[in-house]
Amino acid sequence: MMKKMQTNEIFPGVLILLLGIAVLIKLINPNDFQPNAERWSSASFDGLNIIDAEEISENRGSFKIINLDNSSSDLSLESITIPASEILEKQNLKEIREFKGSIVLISEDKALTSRIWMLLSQMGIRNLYILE
Amino acid sequence: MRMQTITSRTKITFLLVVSALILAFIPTNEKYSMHGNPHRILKRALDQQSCLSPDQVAKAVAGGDSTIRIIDLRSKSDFLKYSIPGSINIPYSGFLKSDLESLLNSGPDAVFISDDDREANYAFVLAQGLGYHECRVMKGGMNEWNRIVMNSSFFGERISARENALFETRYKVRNMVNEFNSLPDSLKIKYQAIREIERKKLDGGCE
Amino acid sequence: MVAPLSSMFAFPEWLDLSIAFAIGIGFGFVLEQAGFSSSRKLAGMFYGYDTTVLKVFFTAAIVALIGSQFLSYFGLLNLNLVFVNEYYVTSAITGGIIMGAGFIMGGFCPGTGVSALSIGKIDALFYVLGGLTGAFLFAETYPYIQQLAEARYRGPVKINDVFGISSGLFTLLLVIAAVFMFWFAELAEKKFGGNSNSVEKAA
Repeated sequence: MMKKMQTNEIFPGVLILLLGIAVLIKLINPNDFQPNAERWSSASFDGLNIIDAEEISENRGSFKIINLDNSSSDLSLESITIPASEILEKQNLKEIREFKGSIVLISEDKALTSRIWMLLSQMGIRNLYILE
Repeated sequence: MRMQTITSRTKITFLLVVSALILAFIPTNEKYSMHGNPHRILKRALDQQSCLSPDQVAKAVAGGDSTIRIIDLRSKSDFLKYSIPGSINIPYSGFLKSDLESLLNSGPDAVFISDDDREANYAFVLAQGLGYHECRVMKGGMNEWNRIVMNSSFFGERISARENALFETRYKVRNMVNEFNSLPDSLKIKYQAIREIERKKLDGGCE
Repeated sequence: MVAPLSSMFAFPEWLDLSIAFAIGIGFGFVLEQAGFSSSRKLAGMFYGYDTTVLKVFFTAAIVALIGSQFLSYFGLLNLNLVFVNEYYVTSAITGGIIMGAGFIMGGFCPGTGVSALSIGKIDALFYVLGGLTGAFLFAETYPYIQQLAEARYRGPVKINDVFGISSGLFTLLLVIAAVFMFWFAELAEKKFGGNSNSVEKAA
């Protein structure tokens, strides 16, 4: 009976602990959407997420260009190709997050770059731009 | 030594207070936050079926298709200067402040349009992430609409039946659009206000 | 999969109604087992000798609030798709006064009235009939009272939005308020609890 009493008494504590662990896991998971969509899409309201080739050329070292669909770029600058369908692969996301500078998305399809930009921004990736 | 048992009331109070404390300190989903599996949203973002060509939109406008609702994300001034009849203006900057539930979850599929592809596609992903799946984008925006529907002409000696139908629709819509946009701004605003009221009317209820 | 499920799947009408039926059974069962078919218990809330109604309903509301917040946080429930009642200030105040007066006079509210009717209480039968008559009269006279009913419309507002605080913080404040209210209610029970005997004797 003592054992049963103890189980009943620690049950709320266990429940809280499980809840706390679930919350912690979600908090530290980088590959999930961030709360407050407006905050993470604010750069798109004023076009601050659009960058031109000149600015990239001037500061080449601090930009990583990601080609979403193997399109040819007039930049004649180095870019890595990550097909849009693979952008959320763990390795690719890790590479994007760990890069210290700014990421620039390019594609022949403007709609595609816009969609991928919004998706990645809502996952908390900052310093993300679209090539004009 | 007698063990003091914790009453059920105390246990429940403890559970509720601590749960509420956790909630107070975690960044809970405020008004609009994207949710769900990012991979699923990506899949929808890559779906070509989510884009409509200007001709498809023109056909819907010409036929008075009530299964789509055009949402114009350009600024109010641009909208008043020139717009597609029947479209609703929600400037992109105020998109997340508007009543998305009545806009995107009340019957017709939403079709986002902007000047080009950018804002319409931003809104598309936001809508998908907020749980509103019945939405699409007009490819190329108003720029493409003007090029294809409003300003295109047929050149050639022979026209196929399909091309004939296409251009007929374009001419019909052209007239509708020109007629609508020749109205004074005050009438256009009134027209939009009436459509807003109709759109917001609840189904059933007391009325 | 994100709730509410009816927004994701086009449920056939029979399924919608079956779900409503099942929920109704659960609700009625819980009301009855909490003793809410007793008009004395319900009226006790207003006389202060029995505050079970406050404790049960408020606890249910808090559990639902906390549960839905956590479900939303874990992405299992989209709160933006959950219906929020439209707020008409005049209607809310007028309806609240009428309902409060009806509650204490009749000893039932609409839900508990049906619950009591289901166990054969005759006073509940007349209460429910009265309620249905009132609803019918409201519908028939609506054109005349529409202006009053739709006055001071505020839309589907949430309290935390009005105060400019997060929903989580609002939940915490509400839970703390509830704890104090329950403690206060028990003080009232101790003070007025003796009156319940005289009420029963009078009945």
